[in-house]
Amino acid sequence: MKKLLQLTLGIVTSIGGFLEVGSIASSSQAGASFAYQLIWPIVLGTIVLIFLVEMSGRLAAVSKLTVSGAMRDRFGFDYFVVPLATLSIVIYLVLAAEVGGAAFALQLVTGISYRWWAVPVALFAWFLLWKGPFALVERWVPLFGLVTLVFIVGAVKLGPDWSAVAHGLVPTRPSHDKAHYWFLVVNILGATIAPYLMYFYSSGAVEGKWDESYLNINRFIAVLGMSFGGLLAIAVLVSSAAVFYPAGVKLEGYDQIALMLTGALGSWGFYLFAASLFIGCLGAILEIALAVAYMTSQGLGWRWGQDEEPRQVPRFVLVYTALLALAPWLIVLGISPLAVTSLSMALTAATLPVAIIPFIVLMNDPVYAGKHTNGWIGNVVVVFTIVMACILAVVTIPLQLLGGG
Amino acid sequence: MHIVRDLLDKQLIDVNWQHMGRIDGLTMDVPPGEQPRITTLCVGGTVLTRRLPGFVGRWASALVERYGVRRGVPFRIPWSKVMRVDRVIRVDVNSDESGAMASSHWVRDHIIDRIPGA
Amino acid sequence: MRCARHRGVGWSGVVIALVALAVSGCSRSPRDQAKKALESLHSWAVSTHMVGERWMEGDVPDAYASKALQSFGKKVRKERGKIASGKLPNDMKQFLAAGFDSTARSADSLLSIIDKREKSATADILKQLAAQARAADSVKERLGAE
Repeated sequence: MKKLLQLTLGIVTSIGGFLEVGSIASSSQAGASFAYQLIWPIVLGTIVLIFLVEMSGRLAAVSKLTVSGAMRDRFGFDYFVVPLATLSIVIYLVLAAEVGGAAFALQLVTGISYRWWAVPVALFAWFLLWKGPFALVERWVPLFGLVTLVFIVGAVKLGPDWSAVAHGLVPTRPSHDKAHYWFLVVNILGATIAPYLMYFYSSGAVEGKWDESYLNINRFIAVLGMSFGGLLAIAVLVSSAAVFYPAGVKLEGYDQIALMLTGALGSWGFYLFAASLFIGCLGAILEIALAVAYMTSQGLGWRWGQDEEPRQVPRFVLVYTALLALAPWLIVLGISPLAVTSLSMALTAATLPVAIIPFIVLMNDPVYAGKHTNGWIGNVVVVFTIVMACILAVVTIPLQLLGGG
Repeated sequence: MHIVRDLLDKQLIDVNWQHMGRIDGLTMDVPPGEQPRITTLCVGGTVLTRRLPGFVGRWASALVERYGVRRGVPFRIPWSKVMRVDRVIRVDVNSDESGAMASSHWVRDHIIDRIPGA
Repeated sequence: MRCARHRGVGWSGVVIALVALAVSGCSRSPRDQAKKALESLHSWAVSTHMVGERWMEGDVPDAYASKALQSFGKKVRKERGKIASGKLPNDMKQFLAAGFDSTARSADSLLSIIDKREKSATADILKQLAAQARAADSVKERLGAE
C-alpha cells in the first residue's frame, strides 16, 4: 500500500515538474504559432524525462544515495561544482518564472497586478516548506493539481482535427518561420526535461527509504507520472492550437493565454485555467526550492531532510529560505513573466548536458547502480536528445534575441 | 586503498549516525622509503574553497577566512578516529559536541531560531 | 576532463555558424517586415476582440478584462511607435499606423464600457475590431501575391 502511495510522488513530481509555467507557456505558444506540428518535442521530452526520473529512483533505491550525493562521491568536488553552480543560476531563473506564473494567476482572478503578488507567493511557499512535512508537497499538491485535468476536458470539447493531432506526433518540417519553430522546440524540451526533478525525486525516494524492492514501482511511477504530465502538456497545445491558431493570435502574455478555455468552458474555463496555473507553479516553486536545498546540502555533506525539524537541519533550511527570499525580485521589477519563462526554459535546454551527462556516467557505473546499470536504449535516447537540445539552444537563443522570432 | 577514490569527497557519519559534512581534504605523511600514511581528514574551512580554480578559489577562500565561523580553519579528524570505510566514512566523533558543526549551529542559533514559529 | 578539451574546437565552429545565421537572419526584407507587422496588427485586433467578446458573454470578470485591455493598449501603442520610426514604404506605414491607432482606440472604448457596465455598446466595437483584423489580413494576402 505504501508503495502505491508512492505513486503520488510520481504524480506530484509530474504536476509540479511538468505542468508548470514553462510547459503551459511553451505548449500554448507552440499551438498558437504552429497548430499541431510541435507535439513531437513534448513526446520526445516526456520519453527522456521518464528515463531520467526512473534512473534517479533506481539510483536511490540501489545505492541509498541521492543524485547530488552520488555526483560528488563519484566525480569529486572539483567537477561537481560545475553542475552545482550552473544549475543554481539557471534554476533561479526558472524559479523566478514560476513565481511570475503564480503571481499572474492571482492577477487574473483579482485584477491586482502580478508585481504585488510576487513576494506574497514566495512567502507563502516558504511558509509551506517551513511548517509542512514532505507529505504536504508529496500528497496535497497532486490532489489540488488534479484541477489541471481541465485542459484535457477543454481539448476534447474543442473538438480539434484529431488526424492533424496524430500527425503532430512525428517531426515535420516547419510550415513557416524556421527560427521560431526551433526556438519553440528548445523551449519545450527545456520546460519538459527539468534537471531539478531528478534531485527532487531521488531525495524523496531516499527520505521514503526506498530499497531494491521498489524498483518495479519506481518504473511504474516514472512512466505513469511523467506520461500524465506529458498528456496535460499536449492538451494545452491542442487547446491553444484550436483556439489561437485559426484566429491568428500571437501569444505575448499570460493574459492572452488565459482565454484558452473560455470558448469551450465559459467562465469555468477561465477560473480553472487560473487555478491550474497557480497550483502548477506553486508545486514547481516548492519542488525547485527543495531541489536546490537537496542539491547543496547533499553535495556539501550537510544534514538535510524536509521531514526533519528545521533546528536539526539548519543549513538545508537556510538554502531554501535564501532562495525564496531572492526569487520574487525579477518579477517585482516588472520584467515580463513570459519573457523570463522563455529565457529560463531555453537556458535549461542549453545547460542540460552539464547536469545530465555526468549522471548518465554514474548510472552506468556498477559501484553506484549495482547490478542495475543502464540499458543501452536509455543511454542513447537521453544523451542524443540532450546534446541536440543543447546545440539547438545555443543556436536559437541568440537568433531569438537578435531577430525577435 | 585508493585514497582519492575511496576517501576524498565521501560523506562523513559521526558516532551517532548523523551526517557531519564530507571529507574536503586530507593530510598525509610521506616518510622516506615507506608508503604514504593518512594522518588527518579535513572538513570545511578553506580546504574546499582552495580546490576551486583560479581567482574563484582565492576569492572564495578569502570570504571564508573573513566571515566563516571558524575563520577558515578546517575541522580536523585524526585518522585514528576512523571507524569504518565504506560508501560513507564513519568516525568516532560526536559532531554536535566537537567543533564540527560550528557553522550549522551558528545558522541554527542566529537565523533559524530567530524565525517565528521555529 | 575530456569534454573540456573537445569544447575548444567545438565552440569556435558553433560561433561561426551562429554569426552566419545571424547575418542571414537579421537582414529581413521590407516585405517580410511588413508581413510581420500586419500579422501583429491582426493578432492584437483579434485578441482585443476576444477579451471584449468574452466579457460581454460574462465568461471573464471585469477586473481581468480591464487589466488585459490596458496591457494590450500599451503594447499596441508601442508597436505603433516602432512602425513610425521603421523603414517601411509610406503607404504601408500609414495603413499600419491607422490600424494600430484604431485598435488602441477600440481597446480604450471597451475599457470605458466595462467601467460603465454598458454591455449593449460592446457589439459595435467588436464589429470594428473584426473589420480591422480582416483588413490587415487582406493587405497581407495582397503582399503575398505580389
